Amino acid sequence: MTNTLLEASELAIEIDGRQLVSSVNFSVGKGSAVGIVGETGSGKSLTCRAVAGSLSTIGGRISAGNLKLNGKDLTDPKAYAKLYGRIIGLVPQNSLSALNPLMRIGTHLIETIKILGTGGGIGTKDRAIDLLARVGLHKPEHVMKQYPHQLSGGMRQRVMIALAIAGRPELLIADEPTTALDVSVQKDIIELLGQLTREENMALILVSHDLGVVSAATENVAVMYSGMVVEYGPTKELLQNPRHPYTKALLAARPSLEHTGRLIGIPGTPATPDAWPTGCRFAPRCQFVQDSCLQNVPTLQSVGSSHQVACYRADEIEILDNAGEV
Amino acid sequence: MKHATDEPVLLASDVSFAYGSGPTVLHNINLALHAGGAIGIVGESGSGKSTLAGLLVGMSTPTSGSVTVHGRPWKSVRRRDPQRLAVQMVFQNPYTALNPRLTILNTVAEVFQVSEKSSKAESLERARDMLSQVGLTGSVLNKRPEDLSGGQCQRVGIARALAAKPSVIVADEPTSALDVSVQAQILNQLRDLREEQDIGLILISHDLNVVSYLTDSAIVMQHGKVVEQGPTAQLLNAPAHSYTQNLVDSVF
Repeated sequence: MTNTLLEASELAIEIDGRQLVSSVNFSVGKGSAVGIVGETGSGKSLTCRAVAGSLSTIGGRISAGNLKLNGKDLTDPKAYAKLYGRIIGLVPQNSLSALNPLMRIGTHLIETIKILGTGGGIGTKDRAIDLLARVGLHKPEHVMKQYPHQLSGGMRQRVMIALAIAGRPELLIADEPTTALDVSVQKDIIELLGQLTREENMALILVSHDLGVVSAATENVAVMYSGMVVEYGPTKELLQNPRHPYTKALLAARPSLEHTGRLIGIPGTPATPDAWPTGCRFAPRCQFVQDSCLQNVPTLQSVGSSHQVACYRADEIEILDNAGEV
Repeated sequence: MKHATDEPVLLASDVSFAYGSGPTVLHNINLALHAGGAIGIVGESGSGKSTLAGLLVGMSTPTSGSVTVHGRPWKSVRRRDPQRLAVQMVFQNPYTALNPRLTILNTVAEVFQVSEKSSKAESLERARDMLSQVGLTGSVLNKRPEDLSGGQCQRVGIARALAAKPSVIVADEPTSALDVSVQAQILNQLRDLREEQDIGLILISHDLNVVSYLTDSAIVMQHGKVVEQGPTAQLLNAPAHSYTQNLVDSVF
């Protein structure tokens, strides 16, 4: 692909010498949106940090694999000095507490714009107002003068997005951007992210524990489980025809307005780094487990033009499913 | 669904509430829960859901109107009255809802010791039974909350509530802190309680998917008022109020 912006291949991350994430493979095309879905401890936030270059702040580092942005190697921490804010924008996970409570919203933006030097011809203040309007805040001139506590959670999240796009980045990373927000606000924020990426031709990495949120805004999705990508492919196809037992189970465990039949939970809890199984990490909870699953860790294999699954039994499972035996 | 008896187990009539001398935050709420019934309370942050929950479990007293349990107003139920236990709560954050210094076996045993004056040995035995009902057995019983997963903790929270033999469980966002795969186990547990033990459920949640899974009727709250009330299915399929419509449209 010539229009690939970011490419991760066999990426592994360790913290304090312990490998917590491995086998991360995905790519983000220019202007396209990729989701990373997984539960607590699956490694999705660490993967985000790796891309954003902030692993070192928590004592982590990329221990293997490749991470390339526009063909440039990102595994070297020094590569980030010039990228951050300009090429990569980040909406962090705890963004509701990320604003300085003693600083007006306008000051946040003006400082950022000055540092990045992206005021353009229109002047720093006008650029700040323009950014606030762009993220859908009404009366941006008024918001400029307000302090964070005077804004609702949804408004503060919009300000965080304005800050993240102030440098006109090519890639926006949003780590659980809607977790702390009310449902209707959640929808608005996801729509805003989709709209911005289209308008500004920005690529998006959207991290969430909710397949529903990701499906609304991305073209491709990587499903992570216990530190590994277990399935990767076009979002639509993955939701309609999930091939990894974990993805299947995740969809079956989700209540929805359409299906009120009994939910099928996944027994047990996810494996943790201090007790990772030798073989497939989902094996202890998998209904399709067989001996081979316990020997070696399965790697991602193609099951369609751009659909990959890390499961020894992916083909058989589809047949079992179609025969109605599961 | 169990057949509903005539007298509601939990009844809120015309309940209004203000914190101290502050503004009124709940306006004229009416709600009737029958044995084994399940009512969802839906609304966004600040709509008054959790304040209402506090009133329903008798932690606070309405400024006007009344909340009655088995026909008796909370006001007349004294602290040591066994009826105090009839409404139990399951909290949003299972870690902070449990005593961090007690093993989970002792957490549940304590309820039997206090509520029924059971001996220590008997309480422990019954606590073991109760915890096995929610799927917790073996060495996990001697662990403290910090050593458990969120889902395990929430099951302890449910077992602790059940130990008091409640007629009603008020669950305030019981699964919002849990991962999807674990959430299903807890939701099924709450559903089974209704069907097998006739325990009524008040479910507070902003997640309409969860509300539709567990309840047969629901109220929608906005700014401390009920804006719509009715059977859950009807409310979600054909919302009458624009605010309900907005919530339904926001479901992924």
